[in-house]
Amino acid sequence: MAWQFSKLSGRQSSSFLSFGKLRLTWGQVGIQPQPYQNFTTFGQATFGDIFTRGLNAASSLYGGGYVRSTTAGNDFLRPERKTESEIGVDLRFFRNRFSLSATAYSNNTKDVILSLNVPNETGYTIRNSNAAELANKGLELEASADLIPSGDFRWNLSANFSLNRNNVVSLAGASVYILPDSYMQNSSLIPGQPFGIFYSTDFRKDESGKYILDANGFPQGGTGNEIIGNPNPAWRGGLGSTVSWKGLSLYALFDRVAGNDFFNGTRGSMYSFGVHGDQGNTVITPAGGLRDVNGRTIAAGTAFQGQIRDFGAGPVAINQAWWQGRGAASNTASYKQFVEDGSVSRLREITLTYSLRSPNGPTGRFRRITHLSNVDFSLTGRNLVLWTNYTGTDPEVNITGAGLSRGQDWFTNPNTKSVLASVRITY
Amino acid sequence: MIIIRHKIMKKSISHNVLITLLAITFLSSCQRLFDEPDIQRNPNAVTDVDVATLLAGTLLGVGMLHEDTDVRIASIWAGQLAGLSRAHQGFGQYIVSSQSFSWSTLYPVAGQARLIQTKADAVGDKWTKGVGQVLEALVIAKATALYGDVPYSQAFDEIKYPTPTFDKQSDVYAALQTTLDNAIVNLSAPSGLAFTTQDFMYRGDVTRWKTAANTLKARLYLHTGEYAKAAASAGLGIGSSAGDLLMPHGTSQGVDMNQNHDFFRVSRAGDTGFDGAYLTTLLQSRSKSANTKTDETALYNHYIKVGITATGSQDPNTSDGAFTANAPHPILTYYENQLILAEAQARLGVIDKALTALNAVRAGLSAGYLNGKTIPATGRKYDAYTPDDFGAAGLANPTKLATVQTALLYEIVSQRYLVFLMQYEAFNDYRRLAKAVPVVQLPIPLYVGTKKPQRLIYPQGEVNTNPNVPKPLPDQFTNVPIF
Repeated sequence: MAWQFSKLSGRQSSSFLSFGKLRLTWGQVGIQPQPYQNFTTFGQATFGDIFTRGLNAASSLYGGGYVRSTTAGNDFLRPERKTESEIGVDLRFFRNRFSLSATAYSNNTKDVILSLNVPNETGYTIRNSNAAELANKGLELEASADLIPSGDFRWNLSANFSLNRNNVVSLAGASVYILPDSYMQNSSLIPGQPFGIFYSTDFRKDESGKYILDANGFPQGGTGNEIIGNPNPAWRGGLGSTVSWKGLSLYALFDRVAGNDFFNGTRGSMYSFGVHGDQGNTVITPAGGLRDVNGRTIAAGTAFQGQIRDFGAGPVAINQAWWQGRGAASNTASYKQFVEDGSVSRLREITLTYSLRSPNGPTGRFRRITHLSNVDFSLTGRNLVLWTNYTGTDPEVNITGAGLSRGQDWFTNPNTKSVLASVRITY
Repeated sequence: MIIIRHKIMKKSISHNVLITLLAITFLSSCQRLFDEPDIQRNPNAVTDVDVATLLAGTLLGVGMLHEDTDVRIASIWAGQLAGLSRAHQGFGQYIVSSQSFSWSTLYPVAGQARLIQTKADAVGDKWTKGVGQVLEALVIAKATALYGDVPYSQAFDEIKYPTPTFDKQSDVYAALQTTLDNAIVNLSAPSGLAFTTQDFMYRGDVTRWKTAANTLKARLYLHTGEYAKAAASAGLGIGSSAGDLLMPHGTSQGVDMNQNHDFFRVSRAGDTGFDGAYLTTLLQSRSKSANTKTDETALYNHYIKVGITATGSQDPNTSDGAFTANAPHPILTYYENQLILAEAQARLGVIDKALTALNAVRAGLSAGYLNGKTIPATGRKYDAYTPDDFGAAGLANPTKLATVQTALLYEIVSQRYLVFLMQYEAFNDYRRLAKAVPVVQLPIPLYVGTKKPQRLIYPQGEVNTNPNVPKPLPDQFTNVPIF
């Protein structure tokens, strides 16, 4: 439903507000369960293990065994139901020179069908259930301005800003649902928390949240899970600018994502192999000597490859012994130590165009000589500059692609930088 | 189609009639749609199988559970194997958390074993029910030995108990003895069904299942320190190596390959090995030593081959020894049965019977048999011991223990350690022997730190879904109640 209030009688001649529209939207959609989720099936027996390839009843040695599926059927699945409402306003001012559009939305999905984990001692591992209620709300703003609208020199500026807050409202009694495409930082659904929050290990802590250090002054591997990060950004924004002078124009687009956590498993894994840049320094042991994680004493004045760090009980030596143990992401000691701030600004695109054409239109000299309408030369660069504190390649990547889990890096290829030169000829 | 027909008729019939007709058409057709038997059947999948097929599938799962990561971690923690790289380097430093573990194979396999019993009951087949009970007990015995208090009394009934309680470990052990007693009663029934193809471990030989049930009972009594009962059950247990319960393997990866071979040779070559493991120390101390009745050189060569993954590395022998692709993996064996008997009798002070049982194992090793394979003849020597060998100056008393009883126990626990390579029973011994009286332990060093690993940590999947998981979550250095 929309109401174009700038067409109201008496407002039509306003030179300040040239266009105004108010939008209201409400909708509800249902998503059907997949067929046959009501059945518990049987299948050829296969058993796996995370470090081997497992066993399969296909072998003639194993008598053609079948077993009951560990996914329990559910006769009572209902469609999931998503309700969305949205309010928006579109405004243009001074004969459309400036425009502003704002949208606020809120949606709520009930009875989300999940392959919810169940206690394995029931004999099953998963039951398809109407398990979750998810809520999502956000704000989107867009503005554009022709700062210098006409003449040889023109300048247009546009900007957008959005923020989104989501929340897992309930989870049918379960306390945590780890998303199936998650890595070891465990992107999870937890009631009362944002979607895909990281729920994994950190070093052992006491009740006040301080690390419990061992006799050598090092933190010890955690044994249970806790919330270690949130991959959802606080906000996103973009800024675009087009400056042109006669046939020459320059377009630049910057964007920023802020406040999202990112799991840098690549760093954690490279530590265990001793091939990360952080490990390349040689330090001299200060007076008094240092201990490494195995309790070995490094005498004062000795050089060793690694770092000196203080976990709270005085300086200790971070060396191979640490990185091949608690300091790596190959084990569960602490995955939190590899969660980083993934905030990033980037020059998404920059384009310089020169358009060769007759200023006088069809009768111009260029047209007469070449019989062409115009020739555009342009040079475009994409992802040329990245400003971020993230220590990996690019916090826009995700090892499992466009799935449910976000913000996980495990030797993932970064975005490509590209430079593109083009010539466009128009007859 | 229906709608179109009604539209055509529209002109000649009044609106009321039309609406009524439409209503009837839609309601009745919808009803018929759901009466359609096809929606109550799944044409794309099997929705039931017979008990024999389920037995074969369940045996495969039971086999897998004796060669999985939990068993490998248990072997590392018992000092038999060393964690050298990647995740296993962490396991070797006792670094684990709730997310290192999962019950997603363990409990569902026990659930399949329970389903075998239900299906066998439906056709009045006591033998297969008994086999299902033995399999259930095998799996739950593993769960409780490694994790302590675990669900059992409320397990496998997700409608009645969606979040089963965790039973006390002593109650689980008692319940398992009952389950096995019932299994033995069922396996002793005069008739039942036997499946020579699907029962790929014992080929439908019901008496072998009965002896295996007794060996398992004996193992559990040993855990609980009930030595007279352990000896009694072992007396009815597996009586010869022909009765070994073994998981057969082939050479096809991802299908029937021995999972230790898969891990050691194919999937994670070099991530574990024997460099720095106590196993090599023990083997070498018993080769060409003062114990002239024993030479473990052949066993060393059967278990270990130098230089497979790196020059000079002591690797699991995946080439021509214990860990070839088609090597059978032991689940319950005659050697274990005799060593339970030997230890129980020794603890009861019955030295002669203990010695007889130990010598029975040595006779078997001397002939070269181990877990369905043959140890090389060169450097293989296991002459029968006499009581004198365990005297203060006896040749089989390397640590000069004061009594024949303790010296004999030391030899028995050493023999157990050597036979149980890559079986979690070695980790059970590692913990149990610190408490069993008289205390006789092998000097197995810790890989790091000062705390001895005592258990696996309850899986995160359980913490996430079952509020009955013990809180606070016991860490890996917390003793289970029974050890």
